[in-house]
Amino acid sequence: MSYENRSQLRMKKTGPWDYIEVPGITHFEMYIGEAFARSSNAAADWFVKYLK
Amino acid sequence: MRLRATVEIIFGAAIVCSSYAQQAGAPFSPPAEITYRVADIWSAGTRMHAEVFAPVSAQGKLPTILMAHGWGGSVPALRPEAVAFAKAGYLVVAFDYRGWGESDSRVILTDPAPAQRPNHRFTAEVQEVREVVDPLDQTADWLNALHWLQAEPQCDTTRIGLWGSSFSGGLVVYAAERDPRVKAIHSQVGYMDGRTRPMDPTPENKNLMYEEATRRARGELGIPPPLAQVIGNLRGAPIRDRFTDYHPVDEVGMAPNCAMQFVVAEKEELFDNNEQGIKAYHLARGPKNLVVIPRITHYGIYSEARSQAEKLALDWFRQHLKP
Repeated sequence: MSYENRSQLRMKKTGPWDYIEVPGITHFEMYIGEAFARSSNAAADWFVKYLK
Repeated sequence: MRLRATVEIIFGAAIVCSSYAQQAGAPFSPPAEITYRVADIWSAGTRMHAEVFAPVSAQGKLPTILMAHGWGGSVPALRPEAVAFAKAGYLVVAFDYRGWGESDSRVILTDPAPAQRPNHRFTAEVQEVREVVDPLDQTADWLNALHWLQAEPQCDTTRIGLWGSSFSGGLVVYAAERDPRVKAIHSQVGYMDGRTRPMDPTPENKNLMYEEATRRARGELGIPPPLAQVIGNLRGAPIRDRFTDYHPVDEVGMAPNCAMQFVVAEKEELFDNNEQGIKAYHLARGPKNLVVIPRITHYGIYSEARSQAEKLALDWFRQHLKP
């Protein structure tokens, strides 16, 4: 995502938000290996932060 | 007190509705200069009743107006406008939503499906979902009617307009936001935000909406019976939780190429025009027009202001649908 698009996203979001880009992977690679660990941990951290 | 007053006003207005309902069983004889036929439109597998009007003298493709009723209505109440539009040179299609008028109904199983379902078929007892008000289902009906029009021989698919009144005055906005093939809409006394009165005027009603949604999701609450009177004397109970997801007024900007005309009643008693038609007008990004008809209440659009509203629609569609 370009810097401009990130800036637009930041401006549109009014609540708490985060944006994480896992580099070098395709869509379904998010479910395996290091990318899976990274996205799963990011989800767990987010829910701990806002639901606990 | 505010809610009570609203309900009492709706009660009075519903009397007007009932006179339209009485037209449903009457035989219809179109004027000599109009062709008329009945058609079937399929929406999510359910047959909808439609009536098609066109000028006898028409040749080739015609600009087209799609119409459907508001809360508790049916096609016969739309015939006077449909005939007037056809006489003015339009192909006109008016339809009943699923579960209303002469349309078939969506059905739900009364018991769990059997374990064995060869070829994905089985015999079951079903209950029809009849005469309830669900804005999201009804929007799907509008969109499927638009798909149907694309293969109608007389329809100029580049010149399609939607006409809606009262509850359908919001549904046409919602449909136009989702289908760029809609070139113009005429929305009169439209209700465009399911989070506003008369649906959700109090915190108590909002809680009731969530309670009903939870009970329905857990199988503890069924579909309301046909024609249940929950909102004043309006015919047909709302599926409350579907109204909170329905606010086309906020998304008007999604249809920048659609010409939108909003006609509101100066003495509107069912809702606040500033949350509905007037707000939509200000948010619209394409060609737009706002008309406030002085001195009338909501249902005046069907009585003393009916011919004026019809002329406004004709003028708007002529500007934006005619070559």
